[in-house]
Amino acid sequence: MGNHSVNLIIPKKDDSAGIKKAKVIMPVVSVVALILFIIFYFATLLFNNSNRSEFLSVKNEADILEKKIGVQKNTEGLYTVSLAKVTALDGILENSRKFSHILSEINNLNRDQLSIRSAVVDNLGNVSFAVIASDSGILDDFVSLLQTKEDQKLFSQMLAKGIIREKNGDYSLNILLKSNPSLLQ
Amino acid sequence: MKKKFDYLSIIREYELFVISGVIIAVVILFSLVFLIPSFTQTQQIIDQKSVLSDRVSRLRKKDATLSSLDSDYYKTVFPKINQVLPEDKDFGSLFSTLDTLEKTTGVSIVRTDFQLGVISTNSGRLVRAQNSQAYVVPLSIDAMGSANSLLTFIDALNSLTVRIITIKDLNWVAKSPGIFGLTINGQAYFYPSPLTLGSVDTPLPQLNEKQKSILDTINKIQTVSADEEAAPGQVVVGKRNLFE
Repeated sequence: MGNHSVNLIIPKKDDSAGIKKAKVIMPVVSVVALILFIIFYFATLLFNNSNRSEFLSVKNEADILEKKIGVQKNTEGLYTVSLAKVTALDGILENSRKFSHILSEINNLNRDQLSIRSAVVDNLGNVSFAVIASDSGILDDFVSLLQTKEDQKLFSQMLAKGIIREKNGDYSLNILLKSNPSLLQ
Repeated sequence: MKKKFDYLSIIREYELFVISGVIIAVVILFSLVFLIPSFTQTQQIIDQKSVLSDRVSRLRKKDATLSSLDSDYYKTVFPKINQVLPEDKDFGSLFSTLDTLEKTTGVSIVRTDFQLGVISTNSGRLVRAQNSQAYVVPLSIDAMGSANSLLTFIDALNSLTVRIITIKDLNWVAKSPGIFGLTINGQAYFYPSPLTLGSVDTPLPQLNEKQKSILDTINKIQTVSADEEAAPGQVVVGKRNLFE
C-alpha cells in the first residue's frame, strides 16, 4: 500500500480587489467618524455651557432695564406725547405766516390826502387794497412811492384797477400786487 | 444532512466589516439623537444672543435718555402744551383764547364763526393740517381796534402764548380815523394724544433745537392755578344785610 498525504491546511482564498479595498477603507471611516463625533459633540457642549451663562446674564440685564423703564412709564408718556405735539406745532408754524409786517407796510402808505380804505392779504402774499386820493398829483406821488417799493423788492407784479373819479373829486382805485415773502415771516 | 448556515464563520470572515458597520451605525444614531440637537441649540443661542444684545443696547439708550429727562419740567409744560394745542376741538378754549387776547391786546372781538363740521372728535372725516399731524378747525374772526392793537392781536394768534390760530387771509378796513376793522379767515388746531406708547424697547424720539425752542416758549406761559384764583368767600360783594 502507498502512502497518501492529505493536506489539512485549507488553501486561502484570495479576496477580490474590492473586498481588499473595503477592508482598508471601512475601519478608517468608522474610526474617523467616531473621532469626529466625539470632537463635535464635546465642542458644542462646551460652547453651549459657556454661552448659556453669558446669555442668562444678558437676559438678566434686559429684565432689570425693562423694570427700570417700566417705573418711568409716566415720564416716558409725558415726554412722548409732548414731543408728538411739539412736532405737530412745528409743522403748523412752518406753514403759518405773519401778517403784521405786510400790514404795517400797507398802513405806512397812508399819506396826507391819501388813505388806504381797505386791504386784503392772503398767506401766499397776494395783496389788494383800495386807495382814495384827493387829487391826481397825490395819486402820481403814490404811484412813484409804489415804484420805489418795487425797486426795494418789497412789492412786485403791481396792477392798478378800477380808477374812479368820485363826485367830490376824489380818486379811488384798487391796487393788486405780490408782496415779498420776507414780509410774511 | 442539511448543512446549517454558519453565522459565526461568516462573522469571523467579515468581522472587520461588521465592527466598522456597527461603529458607523452607532455614530449616525448618536449624531441624530445628540449631536444635531446640540448644534440646533448652539444656533439658537447664537441667534437669541444677537437679538438680546441689540435689545439690551436699545434698552440702555432708552434708560439713559429717560434718566436724563427732567420729569418735573414735563409735568409743568405738558398742560401748557395742551393749552396751545388741545386734545380735542374744545370750542370752550377757543372762546377763552379770544377773551384773553381781547384783554391783552385791547381789540374788540365783534364776531367769531367756527365751523363745527364733524362733531365727533374721532371721525375719520377730520382734515389734517398741511405738514402736521394736527387736525384743523376752520374759523373766522371779526375784530375792531386801533392799528397797533390789531397788529398785536394778529401776532399773538400764533405766538404760542395762547391756543394757536393761523391765518389764511385777512381783510383790513378803515372804519373811522384811528379805528380799523379786521376779518380773519383762519384755522385753529387740535391733536388727540396717542392711545398707546409703544413697546418697552421702542426708542425715544429726540428733540431738535427748533422743537426745544418751541417747548421753552410754551413753558413761559403763565398758568393761573386753582389756588391762586380768589375763593368765593374772598370776593368783595355788596352788603349782605341792608339793615347793618
